[in-house]
Amino acid sequence: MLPALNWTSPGSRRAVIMGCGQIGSSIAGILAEDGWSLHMIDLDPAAFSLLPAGMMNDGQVVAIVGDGTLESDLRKSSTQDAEVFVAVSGKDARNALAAQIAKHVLQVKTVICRVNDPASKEMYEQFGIVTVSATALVTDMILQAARS
Amino acid sequence: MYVVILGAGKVGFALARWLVTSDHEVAVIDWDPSRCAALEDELGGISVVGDGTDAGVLARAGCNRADVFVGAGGVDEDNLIACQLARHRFGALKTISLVNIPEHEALFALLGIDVTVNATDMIVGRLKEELSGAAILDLEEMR
Repeated sequence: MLPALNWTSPGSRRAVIMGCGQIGSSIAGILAEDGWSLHMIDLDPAAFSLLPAGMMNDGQVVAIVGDGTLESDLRKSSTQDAEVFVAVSGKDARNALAAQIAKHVLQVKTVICRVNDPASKEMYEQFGIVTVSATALVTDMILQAARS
Repeated sequence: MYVVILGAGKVGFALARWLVTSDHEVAVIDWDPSRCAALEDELGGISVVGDGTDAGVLARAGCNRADVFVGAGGVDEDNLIACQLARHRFGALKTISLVNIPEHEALFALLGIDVTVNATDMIVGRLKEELSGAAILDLEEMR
């Protein structure tokens, strides 16, 4: 079956998530429950099996096999019409490239990018991209727990 | 001039060799220790083993005093991020990047890379030249 390329629920909030691993699929599950329309993009067709069963049946969540570092594939995922773009693949550089295309070429309002290396956070924020670093979050939590 | 190069593959190696013989100072970053070893066998201790998109590795390569940073790796996103870090975090004066996927050429310029070198289009362009005109006629005659 060909993926539906247009948003099926015109009134709902729209997000595109690049990377359908543990983090991407968890975010998708929660946003879909909140009524968002989602397009998921991942290079690996098998990755979509992590999405909660049944979520794709009504077209609210659409899975697209593609490369999020290519503008053409991001357009196929309707990123240009999304309010939010989230890059949460396992590779920092891929996330950062995809995020910059979403922000500066496709003009997505809110772009969130996962980076492991917290040292690059400041630079991406200069580029208008919100970064989330699991390394920094986990470090903070462990330090907090250790000090309490 | 101090030049930091990402990638000790064919392009990075040849560029480093030319810079060394032209009396410039060079550092080459590559994640593959065997490629760095091959480079050092010929050109001396100018390599840094590591991920060139990691700010710590760029710091070890002396990016804070680089005049030029060259992304010569085979993976476009790594070239882009390394160039951007070299410029914005370390203050490199000029960034040059190889572009392996032609679709990325205009994008890299938009994202602030000073010079892009689109290897695929250059090679295809050259092949088209060879295959046009007389060359095609020769092939036709051979059929």
